[in-house]
Amino acid sequence: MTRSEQDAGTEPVDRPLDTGGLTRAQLPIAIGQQLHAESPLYNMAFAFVIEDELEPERFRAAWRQVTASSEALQTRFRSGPGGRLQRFSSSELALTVADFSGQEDAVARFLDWGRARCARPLPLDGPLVDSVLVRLPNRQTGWYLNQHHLITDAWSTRLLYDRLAASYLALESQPEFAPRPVTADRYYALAPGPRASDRSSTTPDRTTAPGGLTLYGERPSPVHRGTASVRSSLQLDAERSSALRARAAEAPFASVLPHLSLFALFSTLFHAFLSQISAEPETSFDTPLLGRSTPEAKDTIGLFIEMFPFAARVPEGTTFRRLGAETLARAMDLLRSDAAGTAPTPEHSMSRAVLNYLPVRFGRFGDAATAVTWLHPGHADHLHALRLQIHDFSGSGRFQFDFDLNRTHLSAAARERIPHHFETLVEALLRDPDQRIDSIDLRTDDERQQLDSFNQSDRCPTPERTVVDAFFDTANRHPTRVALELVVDGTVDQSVDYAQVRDQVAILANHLLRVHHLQPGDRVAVLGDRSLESVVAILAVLSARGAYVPIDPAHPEERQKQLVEDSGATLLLDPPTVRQALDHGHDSRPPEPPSLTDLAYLLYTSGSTGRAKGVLIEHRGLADYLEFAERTYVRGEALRYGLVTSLAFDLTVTSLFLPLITGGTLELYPRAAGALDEAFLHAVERNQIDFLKLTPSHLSVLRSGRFEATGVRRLIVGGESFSAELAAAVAERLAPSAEIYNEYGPTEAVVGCLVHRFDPASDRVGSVPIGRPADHVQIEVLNPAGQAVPTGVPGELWIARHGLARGYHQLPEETAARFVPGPEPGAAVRYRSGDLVRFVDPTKLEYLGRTDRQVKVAGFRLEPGEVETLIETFPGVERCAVLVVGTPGPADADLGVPTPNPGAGCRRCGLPANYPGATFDAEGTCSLCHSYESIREHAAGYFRTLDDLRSNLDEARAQRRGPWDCLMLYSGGKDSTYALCRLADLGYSIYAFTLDNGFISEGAKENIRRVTDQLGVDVEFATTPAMNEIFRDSLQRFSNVCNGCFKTIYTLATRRAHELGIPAIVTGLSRGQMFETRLTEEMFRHGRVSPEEVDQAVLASRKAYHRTPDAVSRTLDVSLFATDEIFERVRFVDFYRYCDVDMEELYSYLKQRVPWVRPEDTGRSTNCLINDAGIFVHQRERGFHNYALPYSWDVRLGHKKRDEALEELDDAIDEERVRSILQEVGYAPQSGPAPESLQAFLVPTADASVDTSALARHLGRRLPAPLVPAQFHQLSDLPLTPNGKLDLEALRRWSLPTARHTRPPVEPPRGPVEEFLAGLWRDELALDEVGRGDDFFELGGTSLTAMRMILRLCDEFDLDLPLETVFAQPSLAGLARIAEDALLAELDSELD
Amino acid sequence: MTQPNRELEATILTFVHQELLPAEVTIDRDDDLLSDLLDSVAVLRLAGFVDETFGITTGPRDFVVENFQTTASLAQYVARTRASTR
Repeated sequence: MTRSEQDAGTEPVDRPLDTGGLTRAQLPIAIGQQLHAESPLYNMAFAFVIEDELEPERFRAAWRQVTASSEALQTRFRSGPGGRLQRFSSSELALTVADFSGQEDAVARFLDWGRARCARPLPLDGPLVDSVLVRLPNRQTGWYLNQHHLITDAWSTRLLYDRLAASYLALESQPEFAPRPVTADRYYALAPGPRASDRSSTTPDRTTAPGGLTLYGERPSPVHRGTASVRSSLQLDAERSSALRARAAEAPFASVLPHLSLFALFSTLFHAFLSQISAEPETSFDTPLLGRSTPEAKDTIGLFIEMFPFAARVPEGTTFRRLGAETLARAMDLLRSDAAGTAPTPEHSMSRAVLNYLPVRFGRFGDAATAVTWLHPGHADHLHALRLQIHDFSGSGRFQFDFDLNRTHLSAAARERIPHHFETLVEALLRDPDQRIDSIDLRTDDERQQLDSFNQSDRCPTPERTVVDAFFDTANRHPTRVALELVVDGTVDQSVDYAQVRDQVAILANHLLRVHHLQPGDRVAVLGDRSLESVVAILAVLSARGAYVPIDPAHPEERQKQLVEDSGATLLLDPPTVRQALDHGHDSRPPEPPSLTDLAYLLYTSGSTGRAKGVLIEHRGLADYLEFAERTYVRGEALRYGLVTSLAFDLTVTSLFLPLITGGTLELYPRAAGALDEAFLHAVERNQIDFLKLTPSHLSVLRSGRFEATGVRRLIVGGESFSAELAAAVAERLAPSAEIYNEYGPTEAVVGCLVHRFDPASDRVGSVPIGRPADHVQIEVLNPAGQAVPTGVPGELWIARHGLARGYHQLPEETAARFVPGPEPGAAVRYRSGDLVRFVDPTKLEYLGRTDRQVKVAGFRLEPGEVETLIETFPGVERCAVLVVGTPGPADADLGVPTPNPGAGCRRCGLPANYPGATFDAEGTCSLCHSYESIREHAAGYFRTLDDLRSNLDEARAQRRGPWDCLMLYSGGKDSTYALCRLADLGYSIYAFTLDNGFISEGAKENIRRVTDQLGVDVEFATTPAMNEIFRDSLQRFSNVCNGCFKTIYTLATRRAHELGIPAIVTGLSRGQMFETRLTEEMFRHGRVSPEEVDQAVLASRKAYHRTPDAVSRTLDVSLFATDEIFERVRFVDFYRYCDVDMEELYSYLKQRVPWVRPEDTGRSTNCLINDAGIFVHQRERGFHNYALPYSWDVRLGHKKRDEALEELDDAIDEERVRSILQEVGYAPQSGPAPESLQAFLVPTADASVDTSALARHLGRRLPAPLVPAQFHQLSDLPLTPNGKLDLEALRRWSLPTARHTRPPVEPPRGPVEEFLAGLWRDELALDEVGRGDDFFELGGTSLTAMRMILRLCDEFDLDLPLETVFAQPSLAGLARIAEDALLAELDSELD
Repeated sequence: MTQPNRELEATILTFVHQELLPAEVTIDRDDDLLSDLLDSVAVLRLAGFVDETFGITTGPRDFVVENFQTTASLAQYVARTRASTR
């Protein structure tokens, strides 16, 4: 012993341990440490205060004895090859001594010192243990022990402590005492090594992944997540601690093992807590299992624990007791499998929280009592937002709850509240384990007060006069001021001043009273577009104490009729009846005005019963809203307003009445022609108005370039979720002093009841807040149990306001369900909005979506029930579910009233309306048709005759090195069969080459055999085992299977032609495909590019194509393509470039020439079974059919009729079969952000299938267009949740399309050329963002887009670059440099 | 009802001696398993053993002191459960 003491000062000598790597418990820790190399996140530091004056030398000797016997403690790591950690060992672990004995408050100083010390990382290549004996006054001794988590856990730490104490004690009487042999602890031999599945070092994003709970509604940026953490401790007093123990000993927690019972109890609390702060009924946290099932492991120092996810359901209304029974069962399963050493592989966890119940107790150090403090290093793992660690290390009988809160996951406000909320839950459990968890009020007093001040909205009096009084007052004050202007084609068509409007209103009102004997409260339907007559009619109805019911003439007639009938309107006013009445009436004295409690209007919204719901609004509500709007938006100014939205839309109420009670002028824009009501565009283009109210969908159309700047000074946005990004884009186009308001309000709560002025500085992500209550509005944010939720947690918005709707017209049950009196006697009625909101901070709310399935599509509120009911009455449909999938946001195609038939596209060729980059003229003809029209003649020069084909092949034949003149790519489909026959007719010796991709139909194979047999042509069926990998890659890159298949065919066929000395490969590429892939308008304009130049570019593109790395280059031998030689030896000939044949001729030729039969087992294609899977994925991920473009070319070139092409595209895809194919290939359709769209899921009646096109037409006649589902899926049954409810999530996953794969951030382009190019690329590739390092082809560029892009670049800068330039320089920066060089060269030559 | 289940007890005792207790410790059918003899891991293994050996399923309601206190009480619990599930 004395000898080794002398060695104490020397550097420890490293000696390599056995070459084995890390244990499986160590692996995740090592990865976490490598990710955060400088972070002390895994420091496990303890400060022991021992009530005895220990002898430092004896303590050192004990320390040596104990550490020398532990393999784990001596571990160090070094970075080995491939960044893998290699283990080493240090022979000696130092113990240093510090002296605090002279200090005041020495224990506190010791703890502070320890906290600072443990915040320094322990480098992996140094000793992983830091041990300091600390002299303290008053016969106390401190011991600071910090160990890296890689080599220890709590159990291990207690072992170390026990052994140290035993050693120290023994050394007193027997100085040579050696309690254990030096190599006693063989941690690495004992702890299990990594599992095969443990390799992944990826750190999935737990904040957005399914199962990753959103805590307090906060979604941290995945980019900025770090390890910084704050520990917030809750020390439970002895009384409550023992009460918890007593609870744990009762049902349902009682068990043989007190620790198991307590673990189940804490798990119950934690699940309850997580569900309440996430508003989710399914929760999960990670929890460590001991991992020491054998006596040896129990007695070995080292890291054994591993994290396991622990999930639970916390359904609405459940109690602690019920949840407890479930958690105990699950906890027991977990611990039993752990004890048996058979714990399953930890599942891929998405949990954002950890529960770490540490039933470890540090006993006395010898005879001395010891107090233990666990020191927090200020960091914790970056995956979890929240770690709750529960312990009583010193055995004080009091539980300590340490919350380690990640600072990058949780805001300071949330961090501050967490311990309070949890403590409230603990007390609730102690008080009554049978209470509903979701009825517990977690909020702090501060939070309650914040809500009270949020709702302080009674600073000004409620209105005393109706809108009618206000209007007449205004008109009398400004009789000559212009009140209304009808704007037609950009100019004022009619103009009336206030006196005129006033008189007309009075005349019409008197007419209604005298001729029609209108009684107060009678409903009058007002049917009409935005017109002077409509405005006068509405005011007159109000003036006569009637209630107006606006009916939109753009809605289907059946719906109009139904609404008028439902409203019980006694009268219908349309412009002709208004004019007639005005012509005949004379009395312009205002009649007796309405009172504030008279009914003002009845407005229809969609209803869940399949019937629209009429909302009844009284004058006081209308007046109260308008006065608020006046104070907020108008503030005494006489503004110019635009009326551009439907009068039947509650959003329009603002623009309709506000000008007329404030002396402003209202410009009326009639509905614009065409499917989309573009009146708002006309208003913006004319640019005369100050005040405009729109939906975000309107704005997103404006943003897409239709306006540069506008004089609008007050922009009110409502009706839908308003994204901050859109708001910022719009703000840029307004004057800096312009105000943008996001106004929220359901029809039932009168137009607007919450408002937020957009602030570009603070409203930067997500949606613009909906702000704070309007005057005389009080809100609550409640969970389904009706309990107010803590700040930040999503809940349903309940609204009380002055003049809240009376209810729904003649729907008492719906009214009772939605209009609920407050709990206190005499409390105001609150409207239950069904909208999900959360407090962003205590001063503003944010809108999150709908709580029920009621949704908004393009500003239309929709209860799927309405659509479902209609669909279920359609022949062949047994059951149906309708839901909205995708992210809410601008979806231009969905705006307003799109074309009634969702399948309709280009009027001429049928190209779908959502084809990327396509634009349509007023008549509905697409830009491709126009483009083709303009180049048709020039393009004709690219095509040749059969004579040209012959001379081409004859030239090739001279170079043949075997018996074959050409190799024909033969799929067995009709086109290639025709080409094959014609080649045979021409007398060529042909080698037919077919790729059997594993999905070629038997029918097609028989065709191939029959046809080649008949023609006497040799045929090869090529195969490759890599096909599934190639399909997978193709689906990932292109969302189709064909691209991968094509490349495989080209690769294998070229190799075969090379081997057999065949000089030409003939393809059956159609002319449509040639246009689709290589011919573009820009080439032919002014005849600027010759066919030879196109051929050169195609060849260059072909070379690049074969050299692009992908699944084909990974799995097949592509060395042949490394040099240009192969492209000189083998030429490619596209048969249909030389031959023009229409379908009819083709089929009749085939019929008489060969025994070709159309296969019946292939769906869309005539040869391939996997094709449908490709179509399915493409439609799902890109939103349109991958054959849409080639078919549109077939139509354009006259080979097919439009209706034929559309019918062929209307596939009845067998989704279940497609899914099994995709499973076989190993591809899961991508999910991600996708535009919002309405989807219908149908279960057909037995043995039937539903004609979905007819169904869409059927619905189009009965519903506003946005309510017609964009897609129909036919299923054998609808998925249900365990509770027997429709499983909406499953349907959503099933149908979710994705627009674009997300990309990592890119380096922005620099300089004008790069910026122009980036714009071109974004355009050609339909991307949102392009960086200067990007490669054109990796982004999905094709030879066609490449050539078009080069030509457009040349046009812009007046350059003459070869088409193939991009193949040599596919990067944005590289290509820009070539263009810049060429520009400079040109400048130089001009200067010379 | 309280007839001793000698055979069951013998099987359980063998397992406890061979797998859960240190070699030098010997216990009897009435010794308290829970107070000092077995730690929590050992008790959980014992529950796993009886489930597997006797074809029963010990759920949270059965995993209580009354059943696991002694070898004798455990044997009775096993016998009772087997009888009721047959």
